Amino acid sequence: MWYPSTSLGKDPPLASGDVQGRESGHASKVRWGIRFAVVAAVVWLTVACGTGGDTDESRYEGLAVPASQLRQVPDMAFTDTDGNDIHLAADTQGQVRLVYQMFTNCPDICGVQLAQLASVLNRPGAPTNVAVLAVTVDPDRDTPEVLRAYLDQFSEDFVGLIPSSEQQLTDLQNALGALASIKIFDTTTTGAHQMTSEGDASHEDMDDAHIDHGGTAGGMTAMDHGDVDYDIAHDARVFAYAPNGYGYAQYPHPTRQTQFDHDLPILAGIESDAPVEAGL
Amino acid sequence: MSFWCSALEEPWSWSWRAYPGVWAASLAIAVPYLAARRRARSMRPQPLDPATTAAQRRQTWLFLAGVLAFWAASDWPLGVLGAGYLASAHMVQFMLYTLVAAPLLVLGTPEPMARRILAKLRLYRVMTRLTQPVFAGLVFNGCLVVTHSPWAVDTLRANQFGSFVMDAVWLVSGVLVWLPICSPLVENRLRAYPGKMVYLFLALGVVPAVPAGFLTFAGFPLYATYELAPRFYGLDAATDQQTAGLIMKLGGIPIVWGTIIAMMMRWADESKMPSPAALPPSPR
Repeated sequence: MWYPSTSLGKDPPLASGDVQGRESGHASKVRWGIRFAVVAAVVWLTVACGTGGDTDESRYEGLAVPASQLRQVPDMAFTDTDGNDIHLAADTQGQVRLVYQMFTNCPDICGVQLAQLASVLNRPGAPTNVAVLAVTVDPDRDTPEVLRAYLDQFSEDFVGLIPSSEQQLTDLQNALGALASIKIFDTTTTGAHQMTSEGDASHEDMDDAHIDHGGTAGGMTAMDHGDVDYDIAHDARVFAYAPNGYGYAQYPHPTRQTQFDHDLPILAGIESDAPVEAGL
Repeated sequence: MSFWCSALEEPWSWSWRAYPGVWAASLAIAVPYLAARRRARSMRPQPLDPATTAAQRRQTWLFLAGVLAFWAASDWPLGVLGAGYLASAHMVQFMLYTLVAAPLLVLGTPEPMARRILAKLRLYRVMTRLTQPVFAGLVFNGCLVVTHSPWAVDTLRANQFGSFVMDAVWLVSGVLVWLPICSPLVENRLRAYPGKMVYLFLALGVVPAVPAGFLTFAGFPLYATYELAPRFYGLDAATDQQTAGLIMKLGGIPIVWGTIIAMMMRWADESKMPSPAALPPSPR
């Protein structure tokens, strides 16, 4: 039984005229209703389908790099999670290189960006010549095993790279044009506040929206996540380099999957050695 | 402490959070109801017969169950998950509001109370218009379509007020869509069982399949809110959205078809009974 019927129907309606004549004007109500439904459906479809369209004059939906600021993929070697030396430029020739700085204790953005990349690259029809190069900014804690286990949550094809020293990490950030990463120790447990930085960017730049503060924007949260005793604010952009070696686009957080999906085939097709004409 | 659940830009945590707005809203529904029932009981000159008393008690429990469903859909953890982490949780919320809380609240409202409220607020005429089946069905499905559009979800879920508005729209439109079936006012209900069954199927079974299909078969996540949220136990955005679509498509089946089957059985029972005209006059 779906409704009680104990007292229903005992009292007369307050206005009997309202009860009568339900059918009068029925056709106009139906017409009005159909118009309402059509307008609502059109609005929804427009908004739902409008997320993947071209937006401006740039051919990329990510951040397009101006011609004057084009950089080549850093010619540096890192140790991967299997202990092999990987040369960023030489060992990934002919591929789109998506260089991303991350760390496994990152509470929020790193996981989202990597999941986005994994989802896009797992789609049927996605370009196959794409290498995701995940460079840890926390080599002290991100051992090869830890880094591999973390990346495998997203894709076993992601390449995990570990800088051999802080200087090498700094060199990489300089070569990428990335902002410096900063270690932030929680003063409530260590009794000290310490910031160390790499890279060539000023700390004022860290207010930039592209930075993964690891939760610092809403209060330091790293201490709530396991054994972490410091957090790292780092540049959360994915730096995308076409097969010709030039970085034409960057993808800060948040970047939608549709944006990656739009840009990756374009980047994958750029093989010309003439960087400006080919990529911009 | 926040007033209402909205999207949070931080990883999901099982740490409890307080949402006093949800408690206030739940109390704002339950307390006046209970007070009115109590007042009605105290003003009654003589005790009711046991059958009526039992039916009234059952109505009270139905109403309180509706409030409970409203609270469960709005408060931590489901409210928080639905507001900012999982499209599937968002869909479970929608189902709870429209298919559980709303009909229970309607079923739990006694006719005299409904008439008193409508008379006080001078809403009887409006309510009669709103409960026209075509109108109620279109308003509900219009709200469904609009509130599941990416723009609405990403805009409203980003802040507490917007999130509250979305939940309120779901509850009100849910109440509206059930009124032609089980309104406390008999004159606002569809009378014939076939009409009720067709209405229920069309209003609650057909249109939701369209956005459900979009969610299930969309090439990419439609909602930035859930796509870009910190992952919940590694569940990727596409799988989460497909789950949401399946919940929308299949989640209502037990309630909608269960109601239709119950109505068919009642219809069959009633058609077996002799018509009142054929009965001998009852002894006075």
